[in-house]
Amino acid sequence: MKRLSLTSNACLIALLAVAVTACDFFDPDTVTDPNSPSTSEVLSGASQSELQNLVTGLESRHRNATTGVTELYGSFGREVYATFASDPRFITNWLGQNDVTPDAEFFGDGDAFNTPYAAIKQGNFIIEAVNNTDAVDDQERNGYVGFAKTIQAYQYLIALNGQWRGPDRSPPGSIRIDVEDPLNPGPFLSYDDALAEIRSILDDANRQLGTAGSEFAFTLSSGFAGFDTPSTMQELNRAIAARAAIYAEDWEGALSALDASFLSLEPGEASMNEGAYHVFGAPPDQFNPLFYPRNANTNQILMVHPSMIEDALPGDLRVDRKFFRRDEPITNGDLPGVELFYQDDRFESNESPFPFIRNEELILIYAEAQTQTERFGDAVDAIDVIRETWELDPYSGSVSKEALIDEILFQRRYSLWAEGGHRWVDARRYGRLDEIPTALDGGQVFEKLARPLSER
Amino acid sequence: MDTQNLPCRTGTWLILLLLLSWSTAAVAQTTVEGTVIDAEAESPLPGVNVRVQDTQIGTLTNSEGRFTIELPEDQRTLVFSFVGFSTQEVTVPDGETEIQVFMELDVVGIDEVVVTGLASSVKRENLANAVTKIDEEDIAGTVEPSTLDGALQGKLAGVKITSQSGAPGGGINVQMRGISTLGAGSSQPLYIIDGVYVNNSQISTGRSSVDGAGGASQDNAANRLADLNPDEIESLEVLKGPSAAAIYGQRANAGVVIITTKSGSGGDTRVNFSQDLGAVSALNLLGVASWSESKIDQIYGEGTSAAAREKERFNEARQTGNLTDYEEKIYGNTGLTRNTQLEISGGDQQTQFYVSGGLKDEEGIIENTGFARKTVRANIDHSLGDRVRLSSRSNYIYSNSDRGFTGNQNSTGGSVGYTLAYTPTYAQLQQREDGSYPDNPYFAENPLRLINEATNNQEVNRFLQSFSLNADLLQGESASLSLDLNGGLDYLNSNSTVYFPPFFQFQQAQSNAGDVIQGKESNLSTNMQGLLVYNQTVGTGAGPFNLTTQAGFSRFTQNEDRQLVRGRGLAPGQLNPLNGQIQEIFSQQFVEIADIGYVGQQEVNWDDKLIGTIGARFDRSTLNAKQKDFYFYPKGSLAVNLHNFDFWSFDPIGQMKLRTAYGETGGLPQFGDTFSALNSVNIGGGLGSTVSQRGIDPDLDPERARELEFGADMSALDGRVALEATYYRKVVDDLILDRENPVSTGVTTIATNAGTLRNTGVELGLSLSPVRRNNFSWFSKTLFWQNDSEITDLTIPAFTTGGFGAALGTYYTGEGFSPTTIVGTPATPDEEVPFTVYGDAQPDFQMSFSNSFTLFQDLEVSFLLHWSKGGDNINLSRFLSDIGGTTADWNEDQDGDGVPNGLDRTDMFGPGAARFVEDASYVKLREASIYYTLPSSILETAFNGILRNARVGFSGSNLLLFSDYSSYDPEVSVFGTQPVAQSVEVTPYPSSRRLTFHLELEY
Repeated sequence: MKRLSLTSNACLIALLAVAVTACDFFDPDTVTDPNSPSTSEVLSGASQSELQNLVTGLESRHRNATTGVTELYGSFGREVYATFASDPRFITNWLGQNDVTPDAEFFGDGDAFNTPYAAIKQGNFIIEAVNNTDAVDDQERNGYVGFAKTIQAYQYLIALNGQWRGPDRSPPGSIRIDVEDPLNPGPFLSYDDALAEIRSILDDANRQLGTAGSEFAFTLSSGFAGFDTPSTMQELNRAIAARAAIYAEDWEGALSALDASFLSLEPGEASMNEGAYHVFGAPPDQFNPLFYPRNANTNQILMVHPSMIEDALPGDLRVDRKFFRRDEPITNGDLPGVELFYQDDRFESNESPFPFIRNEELILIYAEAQTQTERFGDAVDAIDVIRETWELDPYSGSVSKEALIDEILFQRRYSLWAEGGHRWVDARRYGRLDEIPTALDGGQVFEKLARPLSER
Repeated sequence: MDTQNLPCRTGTWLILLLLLSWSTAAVAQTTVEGTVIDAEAESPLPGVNVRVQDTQIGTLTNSEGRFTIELPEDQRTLVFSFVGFSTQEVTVPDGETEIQVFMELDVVGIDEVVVTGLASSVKRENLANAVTKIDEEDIAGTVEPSTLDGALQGKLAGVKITSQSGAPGGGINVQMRGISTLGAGSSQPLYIIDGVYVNNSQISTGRSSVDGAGGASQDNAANRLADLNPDEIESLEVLKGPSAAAIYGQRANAGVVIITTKSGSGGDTRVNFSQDLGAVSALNLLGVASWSESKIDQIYGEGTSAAAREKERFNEARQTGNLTDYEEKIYGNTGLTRNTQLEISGGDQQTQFYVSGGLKDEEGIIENTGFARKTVRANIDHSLGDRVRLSSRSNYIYSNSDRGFTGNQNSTGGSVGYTLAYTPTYAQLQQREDGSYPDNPYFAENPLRLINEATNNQEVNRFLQSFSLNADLLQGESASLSLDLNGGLDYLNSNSTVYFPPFFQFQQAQSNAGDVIQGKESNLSTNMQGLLVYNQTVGTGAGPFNLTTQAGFSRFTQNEDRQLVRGRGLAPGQLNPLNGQIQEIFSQQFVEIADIGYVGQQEVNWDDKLIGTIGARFDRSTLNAKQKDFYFYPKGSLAVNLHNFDFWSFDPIGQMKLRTAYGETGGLPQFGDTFSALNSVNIGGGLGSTVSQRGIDPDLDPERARELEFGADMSALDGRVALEATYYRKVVDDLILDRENPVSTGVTTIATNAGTLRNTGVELGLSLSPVRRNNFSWFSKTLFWQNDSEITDLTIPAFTTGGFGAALGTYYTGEGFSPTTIVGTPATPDEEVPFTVYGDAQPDFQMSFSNSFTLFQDLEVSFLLHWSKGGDNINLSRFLSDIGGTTADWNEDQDGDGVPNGLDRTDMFGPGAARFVEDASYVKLREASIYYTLPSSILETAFNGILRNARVGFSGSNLLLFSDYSSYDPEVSVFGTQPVAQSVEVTPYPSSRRLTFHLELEY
């Protein structure tokens, strides 16, 4: 047997032992996320700059659903055809061809449910973070919470629009409002209850903005220009409240909300476009996904539904402003025989902003509420603000509730074209889904989406 | 001192043990010569490995079966081994210098040595598991495989190996004994080459972002096992399940493949040179439908201006004879392949070396696609005295793949196959005289331009290095203690380019034309282990007991740094993103992982009659939610060699072994699943933080697989018949699943332990050697395997996953169902399963049948048939070509209703996904070859004896496919390597057939 002769190597041994057996060799350090900050750092003791980042994050989440619902609800209401040839389901499923109906895994409906709720989650996260830090005082805190809740309410409305109560008005539940605890969310409320909750969130937010001082402790992007102080944010809040009120058919409520909003009955395009916007930009920001270069040689493009051209009044400036006639039409394999000539002409570039609520809608809400409360004179005046702006003759039809509602819905079709799918929602509000033309595509108009599988 | 420091002290002791003193003794030598003869055929055996026992002195027999070897003074036992024959030990009597050795056939391979511990091995005869060992002959011996995993198809019972497409350079899904994870852990086996843990990831190139296909799973990148050169591999062992792989602990749920590369042996220096030249062509083209005016009316609508325009185009093309079969034009090419391998090996008593270089270059069937690999390897073994053995294995690899653009795309037209589905024969897409291409009026890109002008390239530079040291610390009469230290690294550097030039049709339709993503990844894995092995033989009245005890430590780390940089709005011809109007860090990902394990194992062998093993491993990993917690993975096994007991007197059955084994292994969460992150976004010039929609479960444990295996091995009639039968039951507990939280909570997924998955299966192997004569011998092997998977427990709501949603077919995860169950519309909201159930991706069973024949000793013929029965694919290719009117049978009217098939099928879309689910059964002639070895007489006269051996051959891979499947190949996956969503097809790269000529020379 050989003996170990260690002594001669003693120095070397000592050196090696120290070098190799450093303790993390046998007991590695805990790995923390090398790619991102962690939520727990922000949830308690957030700094002002961390809160600012969360607010900017909410602006981003607030923007995310817009394109998707404009395409999806816009297709339902035949404002547009989503001729994206890469996936036939943009036509076959969205238009309900071959008896397809929405199911729990319906194609491409995430922006009508998941995306708004992601923004709502972000809002709840801000509220939790701002309630668990000493970096802000009470006034500032109210500013954060009021802003977050205002945006949340807007997003709830997007989700609610997909989950209509149905014709029987005895709803089994539309959406959840209480989603603060991810593992234990609240119940599905009926459509009317959910809407009432959303309106009360808006009212809470309005109150909190009212006690938030004269300045926010955070800054917002240029999309909120004109609404970047607590008091101007209240005007935006009330505008959203007016939209919610007409969904609830609370006409007086709508009028009083409009009173406190940024409504202006001034005619002219500038006045119409007063409002709040989603902004876009080059990476790392996002381009405006609804922008398509004119005459682009592509089969992936959102196209204007031909009925928008056919039904337009002669000389309507909106047709000129919003629709661009291509040299070559767009065709799609699932729309046999259909040639689509008009594409969206609203955006100058892929960095142009996209409105999420503007004065033109407020004017039409005003007109609708006045009509419903039978103050027809005010209604006609408001309608004429719109007509004048777009170089149409003043309203000359009959002055009755029915005729004026017809007129208002018609004007809404053109004024609010492809801004989140108003036409589908409006037609449903007035039981006019059957007026939406389907002959061209052979499909059907859905009443609502199905509840996502994960909610079952 | 607290207990935390104990491991540190252990490490110190390991270092101390490392520093042993040694001495070398000079010994007198004698020379022995001899001949090795095939006992049955009574002919000399060339190529037999001859080694002096307990040394590295060795040589090979020449073409006449002759050998010469030097014997050291104190060692006179020679060991003769050769594939397919029983290993023999012969002690040369003192004074004898010439011996004759007769070798017996060994069909079962009972003499094979199989690795069972981290530092010990056992004769196959004594093995308690169904471990498959594959030798070089079966890897790259007869055909020329592109990648190592591809070389194993049909050769492993219990293992499902599927190509993802026909793109050159690999991309293969390997599933051992069914599904091991539903996506949280690794679905692929752990590959260990010479002790180094191999990085087998698919490195994202960003391709699916440039072409719009979707997530990184649709990048169609190859798994990086493709870098290994199959020609350098001596053997591999496949530990299919936890019962065999438990000693590898938390990374072994999907099985372990242990790869050993070739090494040199003492004696004359040998030079092996081999050259392969081959051609690949499409295995199965589908054809395209013809067009007519009435068909244009059916598609574009009668009387529309679009129909009129198309008719004009069609008639013009018809009149000018410009109708083109674009499928034939694009996939009808023949690609050339060549492979050169040079190996030099040799050495002396103390040092042996094996140095090799390989050059491979393969073209695909689509122009400008291909795969090239260059490898250099140096394996060196050295004995320091007679007590310490050192070994170093170094391998540098450069690989370069151009996989083209196939599969899915969105918007961009960035997939040849997808575009093809919409392109009629009368489209005019040919290159113009000035080199430019016309736009494609039928889809977003001209596929010919895409093939010629777009780039999808990935280059990998890789270095694999391992060291090992094995030292006999104590050596006594009946006991020995040895130290086994092993360490290695795998450094991988990948550079990828995905590029669409600005003049592309879809690029022109955008505001910022031209798109490039440059990808860089560096990835370093290190691993090391140290074990002490104590061996003791105890003699008792009932026979000897051999006890082997081992204990040790292992450590693994991985560091990854991946960056994708994107440029859009590019200056003409520029691939550097800096030349873009828009420059963007598209993705940057860091990964840090460290694993620690302690291991112990005790083996008891009673006289080769009863062989038992128990072992345990304690593992922790920073991938776990509880990073400091150790998890315990035990194992135990027993083999009973009935034929070695005295009562066994039934001579025709020479071997009868009953065996059982139990083991547990783990499956780690994916990196990032235990972190609750705030993601960064940019809007309006501001930096925003958004709360991740992924929630975390602080109590998340690793997945745990428990496997119990029973089997019997039998060989009869002197090894002419051998049967191996195994039943296993593998239960994976604590399945990590992305619990689908109600999306309204904003937290959509939480990785949590949520279920149990059970795989049960049978593996049968029958080896026959019916004829073994001097001028004709026949060896045959038939494998049968079958696996059933079922989710036996699911604590979260059932959900669908994978594919493109229920309308196009998706997979259902629900209790009582196989995890690969395929469901789709119509929805059945009132039923337990909310969608219609259509099938299962996993086959009912698989079988393979391989045969080799040797005629007149120098002509070898072999083939391998592989049958996969059952299993379903979601085939979306025809969905697209039906819309485009291009499906081969579009115009036919099978149901005689006056409506062509293509329209019938399109109309079926509304009612449900039924038409997308297709049976994926197939029979393939995977391999066939014929080789001729030049007789020694010719070598002597023609080459003046310079050549020891020369062989020429001709082989084919993927030669024939028999299947009712409607597309190119039922082996397909658009999502790459997937545990569940493994059988979705979207216009893939068609499979190819490969014919190769081989030349092998040995100097």
